[in-house]
Amino acid sequence: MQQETFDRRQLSRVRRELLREQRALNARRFFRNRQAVFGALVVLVMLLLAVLAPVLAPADPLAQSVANRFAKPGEAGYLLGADKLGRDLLSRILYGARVSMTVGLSVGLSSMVFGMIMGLYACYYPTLDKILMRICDGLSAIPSTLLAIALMAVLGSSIYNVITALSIVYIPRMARVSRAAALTVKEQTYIEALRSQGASSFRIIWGHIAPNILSSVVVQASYNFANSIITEAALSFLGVGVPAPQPSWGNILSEGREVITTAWWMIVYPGAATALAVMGTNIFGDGLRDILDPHSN
Amino acid sequence: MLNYIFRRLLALIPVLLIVSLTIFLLIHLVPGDPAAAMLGENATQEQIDALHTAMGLDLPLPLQYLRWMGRLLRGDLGTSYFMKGTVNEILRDHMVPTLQQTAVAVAFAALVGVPLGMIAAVHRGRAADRLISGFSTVGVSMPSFLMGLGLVLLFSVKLRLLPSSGYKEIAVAGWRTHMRYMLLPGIALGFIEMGLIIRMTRSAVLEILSADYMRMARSKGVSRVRLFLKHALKNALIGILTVVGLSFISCLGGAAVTETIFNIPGIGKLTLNAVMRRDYEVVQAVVLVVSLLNVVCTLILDLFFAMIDPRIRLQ
Amino acid sequence: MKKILSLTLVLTLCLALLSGCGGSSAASTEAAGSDAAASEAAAPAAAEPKTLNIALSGQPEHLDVAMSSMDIASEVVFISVFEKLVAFDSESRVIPELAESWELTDENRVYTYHLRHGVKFHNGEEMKAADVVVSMNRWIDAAANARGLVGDARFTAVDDYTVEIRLETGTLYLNEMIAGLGQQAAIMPASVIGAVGAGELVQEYIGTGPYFYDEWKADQYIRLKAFDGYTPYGTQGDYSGWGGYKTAWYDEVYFYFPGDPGSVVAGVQTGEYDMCDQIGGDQYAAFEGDSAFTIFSAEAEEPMLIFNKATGVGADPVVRQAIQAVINCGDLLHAAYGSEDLYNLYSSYMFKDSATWYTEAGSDKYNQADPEAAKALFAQAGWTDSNVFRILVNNSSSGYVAEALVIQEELRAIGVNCEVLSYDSATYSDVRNNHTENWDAFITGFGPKVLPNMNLYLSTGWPAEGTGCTDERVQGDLAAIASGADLATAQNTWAELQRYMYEEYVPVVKFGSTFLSGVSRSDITGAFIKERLVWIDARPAA
Repeated sequence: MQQETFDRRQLSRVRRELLREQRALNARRFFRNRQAVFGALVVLVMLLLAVLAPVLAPADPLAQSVANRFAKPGEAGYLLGADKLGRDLLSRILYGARVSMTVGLSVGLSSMVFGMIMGLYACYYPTLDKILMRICDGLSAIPSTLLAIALMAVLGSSIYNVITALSIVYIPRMARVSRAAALTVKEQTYIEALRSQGASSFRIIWGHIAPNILSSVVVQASYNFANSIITEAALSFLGVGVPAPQPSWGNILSEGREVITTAWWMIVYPGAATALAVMGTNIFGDGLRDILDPHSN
Repeated sequence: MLNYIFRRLLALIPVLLIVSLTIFLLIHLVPGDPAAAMLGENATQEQIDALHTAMGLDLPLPLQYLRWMGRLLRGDLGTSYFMKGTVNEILRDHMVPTLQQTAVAVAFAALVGVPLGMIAAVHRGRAADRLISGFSTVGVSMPSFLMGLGLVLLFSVKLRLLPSSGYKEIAVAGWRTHMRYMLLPGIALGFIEMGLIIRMTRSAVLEILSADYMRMARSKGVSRVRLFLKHALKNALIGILTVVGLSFISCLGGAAVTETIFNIPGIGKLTLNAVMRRDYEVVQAVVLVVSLLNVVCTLILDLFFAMIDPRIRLQ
Repeated sequence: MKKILSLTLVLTLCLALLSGCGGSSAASTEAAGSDAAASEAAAPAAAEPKTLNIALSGQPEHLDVAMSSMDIASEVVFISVFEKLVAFDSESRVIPELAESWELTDENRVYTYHLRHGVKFHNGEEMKAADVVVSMNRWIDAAANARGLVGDARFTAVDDYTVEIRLETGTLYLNEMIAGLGQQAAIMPASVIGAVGAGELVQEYIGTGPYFYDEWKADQYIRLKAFDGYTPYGTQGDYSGWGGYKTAWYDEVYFYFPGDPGSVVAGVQTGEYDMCDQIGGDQYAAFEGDSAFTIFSAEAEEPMLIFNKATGVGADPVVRQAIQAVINCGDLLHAAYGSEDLYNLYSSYMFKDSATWYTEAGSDKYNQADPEAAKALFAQAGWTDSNVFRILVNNSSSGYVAEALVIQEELRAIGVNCEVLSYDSATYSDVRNNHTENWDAFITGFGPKVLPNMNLYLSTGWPAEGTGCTDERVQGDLAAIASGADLATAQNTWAELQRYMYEEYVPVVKFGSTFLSGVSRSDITGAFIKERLVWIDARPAA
């Protein structure tokens, strides 16, 4: 008995050291990967802009000035121009970053947590696996845009509902990824050994399988982050996402579409913001994948 | 193999059942009712209630679901509350523009993506590679609606080269006009896929180029071009074809957005409109059919793989 | 062997999939082929068919205009496909259409209509009293407005070419009600109406007009074709407003639904469309001053904030007065419509061109834009920070949404919480009709009416029972106006009622009157706006 505790303590020490080394190695590899650093920077800047929007925005994003409707960039103190109600476009884009980042982070996190739980338990309990995976197959058979539109119609438009709807869309994909990763881990001999020693399923799942699939899950979550930014913008663009007057990039773009012939700034600036955010997240995700999950490419 | 195909086909049944149940419940849970949408802004509630009953919408949901299922089994997708004709006809009419648009999108993505991916692979690590890889990253980060708006702004508003929206049937307007209208939506829809295809082609070709037999052949003095075209391309083709196949599927699903921007009467716009006015049977049918297409396309890709690589069958 | 078998299976699956999609394209080319063949066959006989292409601002849900008041559907079939017993000329005077003449007897209680002989429906049947009775009664059952005027009375046939309706209380305005837009008293064959149940929509669109409904390609176009069996009424060249001598100037008329305003502008500019039914303020500049295009406009709508007078904070008239006090109508309409050419600011509930009912009574309460007065009224009403004023709006109308946002901002400036609930059309109707506890006001617009009573927002039961004008004085005065034979008294009653509504009751806040503008190419003449686009008399300019 004592022998075993000793072993275990030693084992966990070795494991900790190994993990620390691995982390240091990962960090070094990450910083060597210039693209990944660039992506991380973009994401960081976006997050900062979102957090600091109230400080940075030159005006209240909701304050109207009908006299200045569609003021051109640079005119009347509007750095990036004004919209239909004379609201400052720059401020609206900054606040729009809040919406995008909130949605991206929340969906990334929630899909990670729930998807991982589903994947882990599915890999461990075959009956559950069958049921869960059939549901996941069914949900992911429906094209994500269409599913999201239908869900938003049911839930009604609000930022929380966008998060809920997109989580429902992305959780099945995450569950698949984590299940696949978990299955490979589960088949390794040491898990078998632990089982035969009578370790509790909770300990095996959370103590041994979960840490090993974390890297694939994090990589997938970063893509979900990027995709949910896109889908939120698309939903708001189609009029079923974040409701007016709250500024979201998709909202601004859909207002801009009506005046595309006369007010190009309503398309170009929010468009650039969206593209940059998605690109940054994608590059960041690629960097993460190269480091954490080099075989999945 | 036969056994494998059979198993996979069988596995489609629960998937489709879940799809049908999901979409049925979703659309019936949406607040609002088609009767109200039909009668417009100024209708009174009693008028709406009367039509609601006449349309059979006050039957209990399970019964409505079973009725729908029963009709589905007979190949009848239902009737639209709003549009003339059966859903089968409506779906057929709307499928054509979507398939045409998807074809343009996939063709664009493949024709641009595959050569660029190859060039990048051959020039690995050099300026051309970095440029193309950067371009592909931009590609995968450009949502179709953004690309669509950008293209309209540039080609329709500024340059006045191409129409900003609309759809012309080939039979009525001819090929040239049809393509003029299809070009921008096709590119907008295919742009992300192009990015993905560049990536996949690049890595597939790289993998082959670094394979032992290629090195051997090169050391034996086979010319690079010949080697590339004859061996690398052939072997990378499977991977590339897969991405192209997958991009077809995702274009089908993503068409809702571009069809809205470019006002193309395809299934994406049909679904969006139908959701908006609660045309239950149309929504159900479209989502079911698109999902079916989705799973069957995936299945076909899988089956090809299984034929190539017998290990897959055992999983 | 096994491998070959599985290969065939996979291929069959592929083929099945392809035929699933391909079957459609095969079928459509076939259809297109036969179309082409048909037009080739017709080609030697007639020259190129004359076609009118119209871009509409949306696609109608259906074309049964008797059952619902859909502006866009009426642009397609009103006047052209369906006709009524009587119509309006350009001055909104009643003129005969399917009824050759009529009499009003027994203290304005009995209306007798003498129908034209030999009028053909598009299906070849002759229009007779039976068709008229069924059509008119179906319309009365469906249209709350009409029911308000006639009560339980219904049309009956006197003989094959005469119908009558006997009302309990007399009214002078039944013909105006019949001639008006909104839910239309369209005459359809009894057989078409009999084919569907009560309250259901007709499956065939068959009328008596100069064009017949030919084809509706969902999400693409609706096509009407000239009806050979049509005999115009009245004297040639004498077309006015919504009636008179109608000519099918074109062989076929196409209606397209380009979706967004930008595409409409582009399509009209490139000549793809001959005209469009409406352009917004932000599109106005694209055509202004260009001699290749004609812009035609008319005052067509009064956008309003309509209160929930049954439940919630809007039930208190003082709150309603406070909201009325804060609103700056000029700002609001400018935000929504962009150009000052596109709206008029005046207080009268009835439009300016309705000379009979136009009144400025109560005007000093209109367009106050007075935050201080509003604050005082809110204080008087006991408004607290926990109160929220909720405005419901249909997000498919960017104008209404803009108006709601401006009101929200104006309220926010005086520290009043305001929430804008912008929903898609179906959710909006559901919330508005069935969940009145969830909103305090909503925004919508109404067209000109010939009688104050026809304004839906003055009825008791719209949009939901109790939320309308249940005020006794309002309903009493309206009843007096409808039945009173003396016009001067009625006008006076209406002016005083409007004053009362501005000063005390405040059922709605009228923002102003907005113009609807359409555009046609300059080589086409005769299109105009009367509430909505009227294209029937549009023809190539001489």
